[in-house]
Amino acid sequence: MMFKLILIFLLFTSLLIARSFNFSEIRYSDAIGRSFEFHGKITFAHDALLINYNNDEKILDYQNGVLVYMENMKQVEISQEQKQEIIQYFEIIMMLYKGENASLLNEFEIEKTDNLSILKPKGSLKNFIEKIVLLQDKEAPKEIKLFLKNSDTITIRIEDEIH
Amino acid sequence: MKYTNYIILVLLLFLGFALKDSMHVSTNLLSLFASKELIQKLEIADNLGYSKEMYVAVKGFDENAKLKINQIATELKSVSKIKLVQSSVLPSDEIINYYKTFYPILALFQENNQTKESIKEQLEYLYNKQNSSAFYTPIDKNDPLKLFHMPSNESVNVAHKSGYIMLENYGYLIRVRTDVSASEMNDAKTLYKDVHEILSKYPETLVFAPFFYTVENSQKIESEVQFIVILSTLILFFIYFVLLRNIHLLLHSFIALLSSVLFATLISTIFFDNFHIISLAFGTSLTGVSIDYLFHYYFHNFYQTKKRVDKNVLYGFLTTLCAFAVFSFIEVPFIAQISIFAVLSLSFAYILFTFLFPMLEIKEYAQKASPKAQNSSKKLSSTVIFLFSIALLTYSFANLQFDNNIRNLDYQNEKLMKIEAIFKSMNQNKMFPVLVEASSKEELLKNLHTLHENTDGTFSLASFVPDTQKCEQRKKELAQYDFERIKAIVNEEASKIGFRENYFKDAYSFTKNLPSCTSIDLEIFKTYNLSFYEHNARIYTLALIKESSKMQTFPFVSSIDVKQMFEKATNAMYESMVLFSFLVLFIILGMLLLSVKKQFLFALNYMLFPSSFVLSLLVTFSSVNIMHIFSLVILIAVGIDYGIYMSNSTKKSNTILAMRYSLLSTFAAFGVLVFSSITALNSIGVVISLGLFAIFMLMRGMK
Repeated sequence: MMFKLILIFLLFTSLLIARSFNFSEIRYSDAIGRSFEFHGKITFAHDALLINYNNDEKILDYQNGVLVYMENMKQVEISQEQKQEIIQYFEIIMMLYKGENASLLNEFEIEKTDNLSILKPKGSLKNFIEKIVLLQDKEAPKEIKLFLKNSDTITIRIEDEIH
Repeated sequence: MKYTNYIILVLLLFLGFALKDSMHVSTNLLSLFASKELIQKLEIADNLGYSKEMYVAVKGFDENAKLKINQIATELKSVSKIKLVQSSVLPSDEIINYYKTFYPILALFQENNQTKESIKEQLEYLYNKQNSSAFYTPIDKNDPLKLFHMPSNESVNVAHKSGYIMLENYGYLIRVRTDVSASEMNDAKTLYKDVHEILSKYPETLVFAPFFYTVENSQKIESEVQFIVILSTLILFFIYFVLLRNIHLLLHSFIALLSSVLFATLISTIFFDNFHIISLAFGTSLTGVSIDYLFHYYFHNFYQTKKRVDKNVLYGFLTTLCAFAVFSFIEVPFIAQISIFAVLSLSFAYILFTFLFPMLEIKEYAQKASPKAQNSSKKLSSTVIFLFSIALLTYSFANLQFDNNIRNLDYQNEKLMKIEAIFKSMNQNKMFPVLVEASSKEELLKNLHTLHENTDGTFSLASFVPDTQKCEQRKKELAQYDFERIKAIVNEEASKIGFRENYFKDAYSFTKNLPSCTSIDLEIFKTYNLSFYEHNARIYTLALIKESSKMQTFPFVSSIDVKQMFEKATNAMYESMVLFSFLVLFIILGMLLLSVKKQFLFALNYMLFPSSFVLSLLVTFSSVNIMHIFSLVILIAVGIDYGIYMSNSTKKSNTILAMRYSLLSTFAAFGVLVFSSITALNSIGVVISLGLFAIFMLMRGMK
């Protein structure tokens, strides 16, 4: 009981400092030569990221290193391998959003010009990511474009903040 | 003739200078306790980086801590004697390349039967996922059916968070590989200073390396030794200047002792390999026992008589000599070396004090007020004291507990020990380092894999590199698998489903033209602290294992756990000490029977009572360490002399006086060590001080 209370309290406090935005995600699949667009709400909090897609009730909730995927309010199990891939992807988005320079410099070589940054991975990320192009507006990320090794791209556009 | 003492010293100094290249002194502490073979293995382990690591931790897991880690890592990289600085688990380009090249061999291969239907099903699933999944599902054009799967590699053997190595519950961590081992004092001091200079700019950082003990403890030891030497010198000057008022005697005794030490040093370092500097130091202290001979001669005015030898001193000397001669056969180098040194130096000192000193025109001792003889009715009989000593010995042996931990002998640097404990918490799984050897790289990998198969959680090169035989087997397996058929079906079905034409045209071509299984460059794993070392046509590497008990089952594995090694050596030493002590006891009994006859029990008590008295106190209040044992040997050596002198004395008051001076000088040499906070020195001081007190009690209380 005590544990649950603490958990609720932590969730409540973390949501208090969270910021939510409308966002769009464009995935280009080189295998089929087409792009797919998704819209939803993205919420950033301390050590947490929550993605809620508009059309269907699909939620990806990543908090303190734990990823939960829900469809229609029910938790759906995903393979460990896929989980790891998503976590890695979310960690990168969180780093970019928070502007954690030390972490980014640890994993990427960064070329910065005005509001545009090009990040080239250093370690094993090289096997999956070609580069990341980050577009910022007054230090806040507006667009994150991931160029993947298999020629796919993922573009995340962070739009207006939800108050 | 009166200058002979000086001439002998000059001659010995000259000889020492001329033969300095032939003298072999070892400074490797291990050589005193471990066999040559084990020492060699430890040297190999040192070359592989064992015990040369340094850890730096920055408190916290926030962005600031990461920034600090990056800055410190950059600064450390510029320090000479630092070979490798690692703060993240990011693999090097070489390792990434290795995984890429050897992917078909390293990955798990699901050799299941792929039909046209199953392939179609999997491709349709992938296709649908592209527009329906809430998360991005990548398609691997080289392996769309996921026949290969690389297991998540947690083999890096360190905890990490967002790419940074971490010290759990504390903060981020930097692993540093240095060029400095704990025995290289000068390099250790320089690196210690450089590292602390850098870290002084960064608050809330912790740093530890095994060589820090060498630096910090040696500073403490140096200052303590200085204090002890001053105290000891003051007591000796008090004896000679204030009590004896004979500077001439002081000068000659000092020269005679110096010559004896020099003589023993010359012989032992020229004729014995790896004679250790610590044995020399202890041997030098033991030489101080010979001052008994001088005091006995001086207070009995032996130098003014025409006698060639004093029977009491001769018997005392011979008994001590026999005891050390027997101890020199103990196979533990530490005890053997000290005993050999003692035999040589005590013999030389005896010769000088007995045959040379009569020619030095030593002033006659003017009899002053003799110590008052005690009323013998108030004294205890030697039989009572003997029985009491036996009772004490029985009690001691029943409660005896040995302390095998060599670390306990050192200065207890609690601050550093606390820091070490924080870093040791990293090794929660308690991994033990072992040395694995073979005659070739292929055999080495095979041995490592055998170790991995038999001991869970082992970390070594085999965590990354397959053994040659298994590698060849996988290559054969892949060559036999019909990837061409799979590729043809994939391409055919993919275009029907809606994938781009020829998107999978190169599928599974990575399974062709595989690299040679012997072409793996093991050097690239140095960042994981894994490397190999060639020595005398053998090849070695380190592995970390969880169950050290299983190690003995593999002939190619040797332990390099120094703590374990010391424990083993000290156990062997205690066993042989006990065994040889009985032998020595028989010889001493024989010698006493020969020299003191009727007063046998009386003389024996001088050896038995002090040692049983000290031992019983030790077992009551602490455990017994190697320094206690060593000091008991000194105490026995001193006790034998006193027993013989007291038993055969014709002029008891002078003998008592000689013994009192001798007790004082022995206290000056060893007893003062009781004031030291270094356990090794303090142990000697405690035993000798208590022992001297016991002898003093005997002198006053036994009839």
